[in-house]
Amino acid sequence: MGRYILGRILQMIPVLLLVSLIVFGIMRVLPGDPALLMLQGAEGGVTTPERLEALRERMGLNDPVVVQYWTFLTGALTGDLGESVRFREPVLDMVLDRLGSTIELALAGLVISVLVGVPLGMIAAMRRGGWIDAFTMTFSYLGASMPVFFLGLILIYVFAFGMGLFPSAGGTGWRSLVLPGVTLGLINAGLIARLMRSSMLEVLGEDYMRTGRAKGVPPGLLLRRHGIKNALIPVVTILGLQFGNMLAGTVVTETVFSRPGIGRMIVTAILAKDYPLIQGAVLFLSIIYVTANLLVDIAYAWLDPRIRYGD
Amino acid sequence: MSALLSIRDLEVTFATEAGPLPAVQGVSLDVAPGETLAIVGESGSGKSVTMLSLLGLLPAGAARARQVVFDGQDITALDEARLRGLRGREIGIVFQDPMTSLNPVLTVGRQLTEMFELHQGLSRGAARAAAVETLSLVGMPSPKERMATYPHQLSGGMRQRAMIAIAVACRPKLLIADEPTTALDVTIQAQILDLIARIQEELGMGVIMISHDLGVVAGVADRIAVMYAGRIVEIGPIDAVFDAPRMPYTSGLLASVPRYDLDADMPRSIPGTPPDPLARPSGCAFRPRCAEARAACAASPPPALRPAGPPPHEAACILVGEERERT
Amino acid sequence: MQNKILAWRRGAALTTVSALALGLASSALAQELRVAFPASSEPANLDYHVDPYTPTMLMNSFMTDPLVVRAPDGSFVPGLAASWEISDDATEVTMALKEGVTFQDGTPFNAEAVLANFERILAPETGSALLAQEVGPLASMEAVDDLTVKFVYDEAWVTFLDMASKAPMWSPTAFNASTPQDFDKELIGTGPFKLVEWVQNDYILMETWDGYGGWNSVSETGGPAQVDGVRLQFIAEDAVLGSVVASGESDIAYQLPALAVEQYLESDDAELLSIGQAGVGLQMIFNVRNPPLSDKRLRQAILYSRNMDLANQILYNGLYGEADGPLNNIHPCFWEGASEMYQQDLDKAVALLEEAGWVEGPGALRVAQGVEGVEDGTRLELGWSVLHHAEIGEVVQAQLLEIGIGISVEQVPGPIQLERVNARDFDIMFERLRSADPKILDDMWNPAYDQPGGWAWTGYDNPELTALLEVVAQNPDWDTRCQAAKDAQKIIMEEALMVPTLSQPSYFAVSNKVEGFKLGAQGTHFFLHDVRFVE
Repeated sequence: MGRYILGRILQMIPVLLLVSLIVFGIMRVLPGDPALLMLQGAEGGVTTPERLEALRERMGLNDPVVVQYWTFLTGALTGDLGESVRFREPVLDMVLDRLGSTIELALAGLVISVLVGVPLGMIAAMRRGGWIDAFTMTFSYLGASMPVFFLGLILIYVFAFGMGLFPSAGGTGWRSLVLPGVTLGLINAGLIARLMRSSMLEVLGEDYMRTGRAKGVPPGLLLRRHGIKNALIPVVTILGLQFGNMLAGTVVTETVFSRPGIGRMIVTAILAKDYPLIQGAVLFLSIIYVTANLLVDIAYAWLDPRIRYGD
Repeated sequence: MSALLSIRDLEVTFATEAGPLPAVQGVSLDVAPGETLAIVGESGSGKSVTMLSLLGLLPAGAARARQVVFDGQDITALDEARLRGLRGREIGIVFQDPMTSLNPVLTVGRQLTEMFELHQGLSRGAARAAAVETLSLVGMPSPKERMATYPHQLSGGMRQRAMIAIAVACRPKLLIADEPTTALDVTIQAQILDLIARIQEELGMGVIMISHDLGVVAGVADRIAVMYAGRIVEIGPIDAVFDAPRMPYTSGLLASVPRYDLDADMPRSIPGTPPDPLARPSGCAFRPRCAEARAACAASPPPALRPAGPPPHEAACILVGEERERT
Repeated sequence: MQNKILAWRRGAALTTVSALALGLASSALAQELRVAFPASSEPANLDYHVDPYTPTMLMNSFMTDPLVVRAPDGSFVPGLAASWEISDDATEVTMALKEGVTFQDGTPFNAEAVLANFERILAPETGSALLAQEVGPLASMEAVDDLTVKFVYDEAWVTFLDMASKAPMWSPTAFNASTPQDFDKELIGTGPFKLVEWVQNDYILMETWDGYGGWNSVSETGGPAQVDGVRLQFIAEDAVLGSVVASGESDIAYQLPALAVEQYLESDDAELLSIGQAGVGLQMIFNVRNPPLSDKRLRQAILYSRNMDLANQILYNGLYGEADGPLNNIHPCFWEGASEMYQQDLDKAVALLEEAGWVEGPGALRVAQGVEGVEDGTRLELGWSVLHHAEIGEVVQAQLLEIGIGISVEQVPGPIQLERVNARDFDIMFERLRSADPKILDDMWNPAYDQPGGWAWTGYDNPELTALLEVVAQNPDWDTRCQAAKDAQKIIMEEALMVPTLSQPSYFAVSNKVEGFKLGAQGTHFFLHDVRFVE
């Protein structure tokens, strides 16, 4: 098991390298001059070409691309992700400030998608062909096709403006986490429900379930002790991917709900072509995503004794 | 002595997309306490289904029997809860493939202690002690250490021992072994069969041994029932059936077993294949493959077996009737 | 009944906010004024010395006062400067400061403090390119006495007061103990509210400073603010910003999106305020460097084909303002003649088109025939690029199609806009500058600024126009400047260098629970000095 974990950690490195390369490359290819954008952002006033050139020099934009990448990479390895050109603050600090908000949103979404999806999938499998089964399928299609901002706005209108139960904006306090978490969670719960359902169906037909019945184990206990743990294994394995879905979903959700998160920060940074901020933040998010998947893989190995004691 | 288990006219029909599938058509048999009854037949003969229906392990409504008496009680009328009380406690089952029949994410110990907790209300500690004892009963080496292992960590033979341990944990009166050695190596097979025989004697259980392999049952069974196409076609003491089979199917089966001790040619197989359960031939189902088939065999079904009384050796074949007429 | 529900909800929300805020460093304020801002107005640095953006100035104005205040009527009134004198040639400004003013940390406000502030603005470390430019070619500044400061310029600097009305005065003690990167989290000024906490992308929390002496002459109460604090909440979603006051989650909403305005028109619980923003309006610049737009007749034809009143009615229920020329109609130096030129006249437009060589084609669009620089048979298709308000373009598109001109409307983000402009790769491009000062005309039409970073995009060089623009930029006399601005507008209109469309007003929603709210002269400014809750 230890070797397994070590191997997975080592695998993270080429992934992160590739991500950093891609982000770096994409931002350089997209149109827009960061120095110009920074100076011209204010309305009114003109910039002299000298000022522009001086800024470009200061931002290191005149160095060859390879040098720029190398600077970024070596800095990243020592924890120095550079300085945001727009905010003139260390990227690492800015990312860490907002990290909590994004992570708690992604986790809330993940938790809700599991809390809603797992029981739904289970019941759909046990009452196959019934109305819960049909409902679950419809629910998962809805979730897959509904845009995040649409559901978010509906929830705001009903629960924030309509009933005043939760705030429509802001990132402080648990109350501000509910609606955005539910938005993300409901949309992704469908996937979990579908997976749980098919996994559960498979488990229900397994020989060891028949053995359990033959042993005289009551149905409830049979399900809980013998069935669910097996059925959850496939679901657990995609939790890592689900977390990635959540992270991606936070970009829009943070905007709709005016939360101070990394996703929103990256979007504005892209529009301002704030290279260091974009690179550093995306790299950070990648690390989080890869780590989450690693944790999931460890959890999966732990859950399934065939892997834990495999060798 | 009254029978431990007495089945009369059991029928099992499955509802399939292609229509109703009669898997078992009118099976009747008895098992005495302490006796080993072997049920043999090819795949699809309905032998496993018969046993599963006994315990109510088939989908509801599939099985119908005029009467099933177990340990003096008619269990056809029992509701699910009562039936569950029988399972594991009074009747134990050992399934064919212990790798898939044991839960991969629970330890052997857990799957065993569960029996004691459920049926005897033992506490965790007491259950563990009883479990260890049962494991040594089934000849599991280092039973204490084995408690914490997972099924996939054991060899095939060990797994089956674990399965048997679970089945006999609560000292049931009847043990059903459904192809218990089919998934095992030949050398292990003998060990397991010995084990079952030993436990049976120690606990005084009745055993129903289901197999498609005559060689397996030869050494352990007292009586044998041969099934074909959902019916019992011959039943009787094992020596009698082996020495003087009364149904051509049985003779065919016996002839197809490779025997080293007889000076014989290659074993002869029975030509043809068992019929599709959805489209069984009229009259006797074996007729298309029978060397002794008569015109009458197609016209009407073979005579029904008399469930009890002399002679104890019965066969559902027109030949028996003829023989009876001759004597 | 509705008021009761609103009150209950607001009470519950406030209680919740307060209770939860206890867990954080921020204080729990009972009668806190909540103002909702669009997230786009949040600056990168909250210090106007560093990041001189218009919203920054607004936010700074709660925490400190400038030397000079632009009153709601547009005139300059005393702020921290009690009075001032500008020399006739506009090279010298002498300011007499108010007595008895202190900063929120006790540091006295005096001439030294003023100098320290200006030095900071001009210091390269502060890195404020734009504000330093607005300060201008300062030759020297000195403290004549404890309460008098004198500024001397190399040349006439006519926008001094405008700059002085925007540059905040911070406590030198405070900013000397900090850095430009950190100070914006700990701003210390002279204003009615003191910065408590800025959670970026979320909110700014300010508490009332009891030591405020009402030094801003716009303030009527002349003393500390009458609410316990102010929370500026940044809202990233337009739809939410539009409804926060109606739902009771906020007391005031700033820059209400146009589509949300309707619900407040008839509301009993809130008031809708609107004010135009002087500037150039939502104008579109022609790129006149190349054919076909190098032909003035085509440009004029486009101008004759629009009907902006109709667009206003269709899109905004007539709520948007008029911008008939290079400056919008509420601008102090707007040239009224612009309104009469180019009234919609489709016949005239067609005549001009035909004259320019654009004849009816086989399809809906006209094709070239004998147009210089354009191959015969080419269809008349132009690009119309905007940052926002694409819907205006769509209405114009329909109007132009009637006479066979095809425009394709596209919405681009900021970086793309600048990229296109620098590559001179556009036909008709959106450009908006807002200021009550006509200098923006110089910024936009003087070919000296036709370079990366500059705002002159059209590619037109006319010495007569340039001369007028220089007067606008440099003449010390307001009336002379204004007149030159008007003359410049006339030329720009005659040459049809731009397409005037509409002007976007600023909308505010103010809850009826709140009194004393004052709008500034610009749609981007307001005063909270006198705000109080009524029950």
